[in-house]
Amino acid sequence: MNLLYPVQLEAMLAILALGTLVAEAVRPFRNVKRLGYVLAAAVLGLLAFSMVIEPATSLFLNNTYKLDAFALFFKRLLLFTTSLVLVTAAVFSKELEHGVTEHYVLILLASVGMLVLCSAVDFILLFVALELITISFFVMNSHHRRDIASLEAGTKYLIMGALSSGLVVYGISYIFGTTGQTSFHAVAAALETRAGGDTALSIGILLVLLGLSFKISAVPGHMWTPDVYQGAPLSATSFLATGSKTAGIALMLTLLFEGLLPARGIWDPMTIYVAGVTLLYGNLGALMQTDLKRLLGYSSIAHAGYLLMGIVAMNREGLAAILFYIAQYSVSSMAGFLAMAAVIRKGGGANLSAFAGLHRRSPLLAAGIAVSMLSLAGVPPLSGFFGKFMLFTAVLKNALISPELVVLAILAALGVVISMFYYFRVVQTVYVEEPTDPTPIAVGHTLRIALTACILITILAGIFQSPLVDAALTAVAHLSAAL
Amino acid sequence: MNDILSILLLAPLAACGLIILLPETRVREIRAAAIASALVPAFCSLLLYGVALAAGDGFRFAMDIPWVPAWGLSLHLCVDAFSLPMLLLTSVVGLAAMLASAQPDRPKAYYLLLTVVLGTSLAAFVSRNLFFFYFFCEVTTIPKFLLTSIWGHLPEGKYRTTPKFAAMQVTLFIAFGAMTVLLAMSLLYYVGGQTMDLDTLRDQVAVTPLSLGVQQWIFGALLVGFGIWSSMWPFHTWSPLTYATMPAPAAMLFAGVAKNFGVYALLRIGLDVLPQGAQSFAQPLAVIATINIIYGGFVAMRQADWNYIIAYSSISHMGYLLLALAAAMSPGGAGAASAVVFFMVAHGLIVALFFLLSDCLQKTAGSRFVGDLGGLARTMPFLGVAFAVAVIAGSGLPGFANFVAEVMVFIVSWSEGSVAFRVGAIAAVWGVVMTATYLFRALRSTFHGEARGERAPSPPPGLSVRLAILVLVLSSVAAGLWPRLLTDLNYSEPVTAQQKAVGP
Repeated sequence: MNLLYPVQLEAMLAILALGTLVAEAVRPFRNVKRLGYVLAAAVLGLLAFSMVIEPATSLFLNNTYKLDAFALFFKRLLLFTTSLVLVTAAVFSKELEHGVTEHYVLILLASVGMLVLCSAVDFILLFVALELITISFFVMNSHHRRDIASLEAGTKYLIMGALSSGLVVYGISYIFGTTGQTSFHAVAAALETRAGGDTALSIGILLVLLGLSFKISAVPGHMWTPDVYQGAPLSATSFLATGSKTAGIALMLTLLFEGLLPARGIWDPMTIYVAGVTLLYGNLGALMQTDLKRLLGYSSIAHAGYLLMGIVAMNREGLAAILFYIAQYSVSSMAGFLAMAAVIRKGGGANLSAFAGLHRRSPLLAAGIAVSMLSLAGVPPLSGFFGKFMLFTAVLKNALISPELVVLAILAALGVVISMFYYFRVVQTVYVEEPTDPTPIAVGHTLRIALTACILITILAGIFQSPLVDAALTAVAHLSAAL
Repeated sequence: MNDILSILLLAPLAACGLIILLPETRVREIRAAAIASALVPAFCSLLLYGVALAAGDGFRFAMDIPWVPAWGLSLHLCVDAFSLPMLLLTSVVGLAAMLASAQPDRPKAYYLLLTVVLGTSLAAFVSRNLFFFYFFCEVTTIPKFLLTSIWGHLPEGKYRTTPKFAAMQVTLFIAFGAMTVLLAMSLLYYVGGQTMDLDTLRDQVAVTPLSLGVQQWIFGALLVGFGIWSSMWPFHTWSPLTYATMPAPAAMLFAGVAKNFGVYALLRIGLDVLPQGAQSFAQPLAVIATINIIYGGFVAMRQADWNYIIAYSSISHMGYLLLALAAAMSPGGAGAASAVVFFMVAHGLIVALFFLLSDCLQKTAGSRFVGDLGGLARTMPFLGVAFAVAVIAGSGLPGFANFVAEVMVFIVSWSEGSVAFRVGAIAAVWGVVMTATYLFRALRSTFHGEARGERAPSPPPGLSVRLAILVLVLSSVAAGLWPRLLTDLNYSEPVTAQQKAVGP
């Protein structure tokens, strides 16, 4: 029992997933939509349970797993996100056609991997969790077996994912080879005692970061993002955009600030440039997109750039800003994806013309997309604005010390203005243009509740920011102690 | 006093909630809620005004609600001599705008957006915390975009562009200014000791002023960003098309009220926190203001669309305002602050009146292009008189607030003494002639002389529109005949910090 205590959430999720799989094998579910809603409710129950778990200061499972406030913050966020993704999948289940139950199971298993990834403080556990997530997504992305776009998405994700996993393992082997440790804390201790200039160790660190950039779609691991977001089924895209990125950023924070902090001379200057290039690439690439899912793919790259900004700020405010940002980004994005789930059809694509005049067909869906886009653009009073504000203030705090941060802040500001163009264009399409097919869209009860909840959270978190800010600051207290 | 301020700020919020709950069919109730959302703040501002006059020296109501203590942000609201006239302006223009809105389609969303703009503008002017000032100003972005995209209208065949383009243009342009401001403010946050509160910053700067280089960088960036918001040359290009496209009540609110955000912020921050930085920019700003006056005036003379004439006239008059601001920023020029505030009120009232009348013209005569119209005074006497009054007021003739405001600008600019300011003062006087020229010429072509084009008789403006016009005209007359109404407020307390920082 003591062994299972730290991983109780993951264990329960895994039991839920495997139980569903076995039940499907014994007697296939007929009402897969309702199954999705039930699973979403079950995950919400797990979220409620997770709220009573106390953060622990010690490490578990042979010093590979932590359960502090930071890990709990991300676990709760991921559980909430998973629940919303399951609702999205349920709404989209008619388009998924076959194997819907298995799709749900894969979502749950990927979620298990994400929960473990947030707590990983050991390279081996990192790799195992990473693979669990990636392999689940391999299958999810190519769900539409007869749709060439989906197959292409799955293949691209497979190849890029395999490449990056290989790079990560290669880097881990260098780090293990030079320090003899796989635990983050032990690696940090070894880095401190080691005199600087160990080439093999530096190569190892760089390789791991290179492989991890795939996870958060930062340059240079960003190439797969637009194609996969566009081709994969909507539920997989939404989970990629929110859950995968959340887990990836949690891992990067733990790795960089608990494991590789003494080596910041290696990764800090590089990350500044990566952040700048990433957000420029994402924002400029999204400008000309006509497919909403592809647009969200490019914007996702841009948001990775903003998140990296919080890392290079190198202070407590920056880390708290990242947590706030990723939390509000997940909820805002899910509002958009939930609305999209009721609108797009498999094979019809998510072209913007499908959303023209959406407000005439369903005011709620139109509001969902509009609020989502505006929050991602960072316009007050929505939560995206405060996230960006926190990032800007955090970066400029050290700006007087390092001028590159000023350039980065200016680039980010330009990026925000550029991004407003494509986000506002979606809002215009939804509200101003005339629909090609004016039949009203029916919105089920569960979707209505979920979408309204997301919209309200996005608006309220932007006005009453204090609860989330305080939670973020508490979560990073341990991580930022050395900064 | 705190209760009055709370009611003033919460009334628009309550009205928004009411409008959201009302069904789309109950248009009269929605409209009543919107009008109440402007009437209550107007009443409250008058109450505050009475209390302020009675309090005499050093009146200053402040309210501080901690909002995000971990980030040093608190909702610090303060009514003093600078913000009280702006509250009055905002509520009067808001009242006129709500009265003048007539049967839009999708009334619920329309009135909701207008009420949001009104409420957030009121909150912006009383914000003493830079973050919240920025927040409240930027909340107008979404309503501005939606109002221009959905209800925006360009006359048929006269323009090669669409409301969608106009909406995108203004949003991106203003966003660019907003990002510049955000960067400058974030830098100020840190060099000022991790606070966004103007009072705290002012007290700290009085003890240890920031270094000149830092001040210049921050104020320069703020000048560019806020200048974009206030249509300072060369960042003025967004305004004509925007005001030509927006529905008239939105144009009234945005041109009359929101344009003043930039100058108001520069005045506050420049006087309180960055006095030396502001001083370095006083002369260049005077030059730019002169260009605004002359350029805006000359371009206005070439316009055929009444909305464009008004928009360029507004750009020209922003030059006067920037000239007064520059005078307030220069050493020993703190007395010009009252001129800045007076001009903001005067100009806001008249530009709102003009956009309202232009909209009436469009509705009754079918066109707002001077070339299509003529001799309308015979068939539309009310509109003819109203336009004549507006033109007289806008040209700065005595009896209206603009005259007093412009005289104050001439005086403060000339008494500043340096070449740039004296040239600016001369240009400002010359600007009166230019304004009179294009306004009276347009008036004559529209209402007097030969009638051009056939048109069917159309109904005169309704009661609520007439009420709106009356409200604006009376306010302008009141400020114009009794300037002491505004100048008697104690302006010296807010400027004390600048005098302290600059030294004897």
